[in-house]
Amino acid sequence: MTALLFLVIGIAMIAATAGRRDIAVGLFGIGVIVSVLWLRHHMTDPLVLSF
Amino acid sequence: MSSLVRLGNALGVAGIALVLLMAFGAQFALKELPCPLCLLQRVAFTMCGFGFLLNLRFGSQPLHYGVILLGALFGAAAAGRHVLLHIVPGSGSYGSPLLGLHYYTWSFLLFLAVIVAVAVLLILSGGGRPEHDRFDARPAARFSGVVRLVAYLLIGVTLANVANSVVQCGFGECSDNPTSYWLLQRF
Repeated sequence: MTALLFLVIGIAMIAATAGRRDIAVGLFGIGVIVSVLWLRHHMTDPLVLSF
Repeated sequence: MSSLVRLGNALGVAGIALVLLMAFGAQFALKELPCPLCLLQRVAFTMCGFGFLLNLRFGSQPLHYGVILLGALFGAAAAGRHVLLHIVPGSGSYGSPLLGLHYYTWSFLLFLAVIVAVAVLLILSGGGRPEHDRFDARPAARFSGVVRLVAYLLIGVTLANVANSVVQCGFGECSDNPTSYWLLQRF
């Protein structure tokens, strides 16, 4: 799954380099949404913050 | 785009590529595999690098700075969560410290530095110019010289992270505390 995130951003970079900004920014948007969902998925351990 | 702003964005791309290369260096030299939160911090660095890349390719624009800020805020959230997991004495740590700080603490500081850098670049982009010329929306310019080198370096290290993630985690979820590469165990 993490590989997919890198792949989406990598393709976005290649699209930007090729001059296709709309595609690049669209891919970035998808990447951000999936990344936030993936971060939320990994935030499972309770924080021990009682001082 | 002023040459100073273009230089700042080129330094941003080069800096992000350097951070990702150093992460690979630590991973292979110290044989410390990145955890899921560590990989998400790497993803955030690539997002920031993508924003700097857009500025170099299409000119300095608010959309591109927004991309960098979103990446930096996402990275700060992931790194901050990682710091909080180990902030209480006795709660352990992940990986070796570098100059007294763990990688996730460095990440958090670097994401804050990226936000500060964007603020400076925004000021430089708009300062002393007429309102209608605040942001340069010139036609796309192809990369050349050193800029091309750092841009391709960033793209290369991002694609290397794709390969690394597949080798380490496969196509599913990464282990919370990885000790071996998923793909290498298949042989």
